Amino acid sequence: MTPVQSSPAPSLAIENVRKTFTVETRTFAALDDVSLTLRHNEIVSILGPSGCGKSTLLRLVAGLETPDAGALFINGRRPVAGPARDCAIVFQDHRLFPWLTVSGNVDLALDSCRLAPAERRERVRRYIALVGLGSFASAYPRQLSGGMAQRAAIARALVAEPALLLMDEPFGALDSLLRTRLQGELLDIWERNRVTILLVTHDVEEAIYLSDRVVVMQPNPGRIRAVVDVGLPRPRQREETAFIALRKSLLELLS
Amino acid sequence: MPLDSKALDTKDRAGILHPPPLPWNGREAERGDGGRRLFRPAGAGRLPDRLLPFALPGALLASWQAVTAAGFMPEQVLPPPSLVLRTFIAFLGDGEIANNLLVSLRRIACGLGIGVVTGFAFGLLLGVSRRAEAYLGPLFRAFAAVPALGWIPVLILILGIDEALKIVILSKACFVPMVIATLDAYRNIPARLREAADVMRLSPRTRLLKLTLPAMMPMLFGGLRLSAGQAFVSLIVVEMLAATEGIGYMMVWGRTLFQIDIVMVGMAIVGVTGFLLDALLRRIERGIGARMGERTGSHG
Repeated sequence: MTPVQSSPAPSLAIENVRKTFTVETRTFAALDDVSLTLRHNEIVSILGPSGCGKSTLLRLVAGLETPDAGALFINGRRPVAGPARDCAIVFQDHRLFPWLTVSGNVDLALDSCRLAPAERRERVRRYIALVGLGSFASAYPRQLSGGMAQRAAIARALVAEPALLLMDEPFGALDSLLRTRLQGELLDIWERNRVTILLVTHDVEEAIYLSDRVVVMQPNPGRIRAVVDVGLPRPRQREETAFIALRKSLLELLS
Repeated sequence: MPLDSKALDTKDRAGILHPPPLPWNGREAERGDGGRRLFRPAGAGRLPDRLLPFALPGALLASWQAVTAAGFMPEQVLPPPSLVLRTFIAFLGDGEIANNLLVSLRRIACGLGIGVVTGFAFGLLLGVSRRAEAYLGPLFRAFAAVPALGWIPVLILILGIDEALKIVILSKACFVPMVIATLDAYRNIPARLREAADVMRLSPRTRLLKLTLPAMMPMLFGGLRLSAGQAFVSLIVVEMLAATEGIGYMMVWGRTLFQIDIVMVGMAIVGVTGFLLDALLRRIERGIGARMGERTGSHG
């Protein structure tokens, strides 16, 4: 399969990245020689037990940490220092600013974009509507339920129309019903606004349901154990045999 | 039955959200502490909540009057409250109180203004710059350890006993708590929100206005109120030591005349003015908190 690409460079290229942390006097490798390439508009999940470095990998891509060795390229460009342009992140907790309304929070993400005020307002309105919070634009975060706040965080991440969306267990703090629904909504949004998504999760079903490929990681040191192609047509049914079989083999890879 | 958070999320097939009746302004949300009422015993003859703060002062006043009426102590040592009240009314009438209070309040305003502004700027500098903290932090802590009033003997020699002395002493008294509060407030900006600001690559200006200042606001107000308290303490002492007008001077003057009632009028004025200033600052603080939607810190 050869996808048509607008740009020859991959959306994200991670090359031989290593990251160590020192706690007290002990040094351990959170990531050791990790390489991964994401094609444009691909959804890739990183699956692994806690401590396998999956969140560290995401933070490296976001520019919140710097690698000890290796390099990262977003759209072929190497971020100089600090958080990269064209890249947004949704954390496990919503991290909305409590003193700003939903639209105030979403608007904040456009701070580094040069947009005319009218266009900026329209963009904020459109993305708040996209995540189904149209009538809550002027609500404050504390007035929202967990699911609504997380949707607002997704709107904030998408509003600057990044080429790469990073998600660190974005639905991990929600109950399973809501999680399933937001997974569906995320796919809807992805179909409408094509974007490359790198998603960290510990939920095997979530990884299969959402992704084109699943990266399985192992701890001590954090390494990629396997990269599995999902290859099921969307929309995927969690009950179908192929889904369940894939789930079984992924669980085996994890244990 | 109240709606729970999952019910709030309900969106029907047409994509229409049904907005629930949320507590829309902060005031109503705050009132949700149903617990307090539960523990109130339902006794007869209880005072309404509004009068509770006056119960103890009222009782003290009554026993004070009773003690003096019984003649346990000479009037020069413990004048009866009725005499203090008479003196108060007389001083109110001839402008003695208004003049002295105005002088004192002007000194407070100057000292508080200078101390708070410079304290905020210096605290922010220490918070933002590791290098500034390394150079200036220890010196500041040593400086802070010497009370403002400890500077009076030296400063009298340099500045004389004019207004400059009072303003410098008061500024120093306000500067220290404001620096500490600002530094603490800066360090307590949640790392989670700072990271969110990092990945959004906020400009320095937006970051200051939308993250740094709102996050610091509750602790800054705590520092401001602490500074105001310090200003009052220092004001009275410095006025008692070196001044020719002001409430503190009025108290010393009363003492030299052996008119303790004048001293007590001064004490009452200081107490009430300090209380009102603090109440005003708290009101402003709450107003700003409501405007910003939520306060990250606790009510002071």
